[in-house]
Amino acid sequence: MLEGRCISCGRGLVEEGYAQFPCPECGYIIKRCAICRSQVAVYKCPECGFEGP
Amino acid sequence: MEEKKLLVPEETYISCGAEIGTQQKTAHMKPFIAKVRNDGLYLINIEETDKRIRSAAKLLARYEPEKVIVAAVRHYARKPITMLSQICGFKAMPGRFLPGTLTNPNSENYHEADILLVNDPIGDKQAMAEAIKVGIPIVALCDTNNETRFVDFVIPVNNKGRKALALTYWLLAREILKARGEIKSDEEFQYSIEDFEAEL
Repeated sequence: MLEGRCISCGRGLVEEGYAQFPCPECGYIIKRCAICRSQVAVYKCPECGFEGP
Repeated sequence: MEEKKLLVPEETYISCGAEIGTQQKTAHMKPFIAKVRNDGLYLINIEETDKRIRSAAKLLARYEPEKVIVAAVRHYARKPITMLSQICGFKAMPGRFLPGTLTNPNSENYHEADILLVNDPIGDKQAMAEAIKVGIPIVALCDTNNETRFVDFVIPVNNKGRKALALTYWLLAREILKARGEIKSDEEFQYSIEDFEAEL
């Protein structure tokens, strides 16, 4: 389990398959839950507006 | 209208076939597709490829080199990933990805990684499955026929062609060194695209 919430849906990061990484542009830590990763949900960095995946 | 400068001239991207996709397209890759040719071949948007290579290099440069693992089963990608790993200090896994590399600490080949770079989400599914299990982010080179499930950062490019792979990994290596501050300009990068090309 990881502290914090998914950047796309706001769920807690409990289930296996979540990941966290720094935003390529500004370094803000982006956290994604397993469901959003499997559904290819779009994420947006709140600091610089970078959109992925 | 002001044109944004690409990492290499557009002709280089085209001559290496970096924009050549496949005759299939997935919904996940739709945002990166520029057009469809008369023969049904989908072409990738080069500007998007260029932008993504820059961002991927910045992302990979944020990690400790030995904590980055690069996997590629595809034959033509083996030399480019080996070169990239030699230059940037990453751990290369060319060929078959031995099960347990990321998940079994008792395995001889066990490697503790913080991020995974894969050449093809279809071919490198063992590496992807292990990265998902240990919860590390995944960067992937994706063609028009790829699904991007569990991929955290997509680099839309032809991930099948010999020259396209050489160009992509060459650019990644150069941009990573620039992002780390190890080289100041493109001219200081001493390797050529041909150095990254696999033999026929």
